[in-house]
Amino acid sequence: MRNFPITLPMKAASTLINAWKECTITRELEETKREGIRAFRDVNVKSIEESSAILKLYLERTFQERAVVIRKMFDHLDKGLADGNMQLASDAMTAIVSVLKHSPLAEARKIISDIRDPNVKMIEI
Amino acid sequence: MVPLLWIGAALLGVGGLAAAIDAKDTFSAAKRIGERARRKHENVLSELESLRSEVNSDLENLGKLKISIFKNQIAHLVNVIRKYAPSRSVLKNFQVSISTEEFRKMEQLVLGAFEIEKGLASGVSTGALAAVGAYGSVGMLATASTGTAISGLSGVAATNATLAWFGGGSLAAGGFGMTGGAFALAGVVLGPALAITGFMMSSKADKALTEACEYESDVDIKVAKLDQTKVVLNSLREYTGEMTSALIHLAERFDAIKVSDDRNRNSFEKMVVVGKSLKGLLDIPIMSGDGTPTEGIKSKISGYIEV
Repeated sequence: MRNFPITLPMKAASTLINAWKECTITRELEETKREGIRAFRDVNVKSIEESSAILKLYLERTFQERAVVIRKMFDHLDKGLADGNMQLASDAMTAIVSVLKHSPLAEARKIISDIRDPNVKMIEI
Repeated sequence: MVPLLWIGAALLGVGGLAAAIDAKDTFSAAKRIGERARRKHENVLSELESLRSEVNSDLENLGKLKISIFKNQIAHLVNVIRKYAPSRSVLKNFQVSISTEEFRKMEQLVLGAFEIEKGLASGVSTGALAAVGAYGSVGMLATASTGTAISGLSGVAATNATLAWFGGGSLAAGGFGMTGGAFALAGVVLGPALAITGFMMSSKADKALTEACEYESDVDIKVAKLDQTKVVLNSLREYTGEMTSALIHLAERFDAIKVSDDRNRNSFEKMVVVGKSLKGLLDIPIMSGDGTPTEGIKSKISGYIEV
């Protein structure tokens, strides 16, 4: 026992202390990384959800407006056909075709692109 | 000195054991987070797939309707015009004119509609209906009437629309690879864990937990984008429904006023006017071939009628 080299327990203790230190540092480092990841996630998810909400609202309103216009144009068409007023009927049908020709999704796509673009200061809807 | 060192080492050893036990819980937590995120991603993808099927089904129904209108209403119009107004100048006295070229195209599209229907009966044009619904009549039906193999016409409209919305590819389900989910937990745990101290195990567990959080974060962002795609697909359904409804209503008007000859010029004119507008509606594409939306809504419709 007397000849037991003192370096052995010291070396063992040193190894354990180093492992403990490394473990503590890693834990703190990883926790910081996780906080960063969550923050990045929260910002991105919020941004996408907000743009989705705008997109949904825009499309809902647009389709509602279009439905009203189309319904009224069909009323005009029926009146034109019943009265023999072909100009009215023709104009009503031109309007129906014109409204349907334009996809609300195309404009919505631009709005979303503008929302994502930091250089765009104002979005016209 | 030596006993003190032994005592210190022993205490740290106990701490290492405690860390090993703690690491096991952390590994379990990481695994739970990864699996939960993977399930969430899979569920949203599955919902999106169902929605895409519904969109395709709507587009197929619109395609069927368009073919039916070409075969019935437009074919009737073409036949009556051919029979009673064969000269290219005959129609110019009406408020609406149909040029020889337009008339020739109408004939061609009617032929195309019959070709597609023939193809459907023999099963070779499956998938073409959604394309007819989505891309307007001109491209698809004109192609069919020229004898192009109908089987080559694709009906992936809804898929194209979703891909185009994000510039292509971002919908890919395999985007996360194996970064998450199981993320090779077994490899992290087995091997080194058996040989190293509890402290090292704890470090590995912390890293695994971070990986799981990173995966979960990627999934959450991806799911938010997929939810936005759902909004787009639902709008595509809405637009398809709008077009379907307008076509049905206008075809009904056509049927109500159609005539079989030109004895009554006013009635003949009415039919031509409504028929031409019906054809105009049939030509409108819901989307471009690559899935991008067609023209924007900011159109000038003023000057027609006040609503």
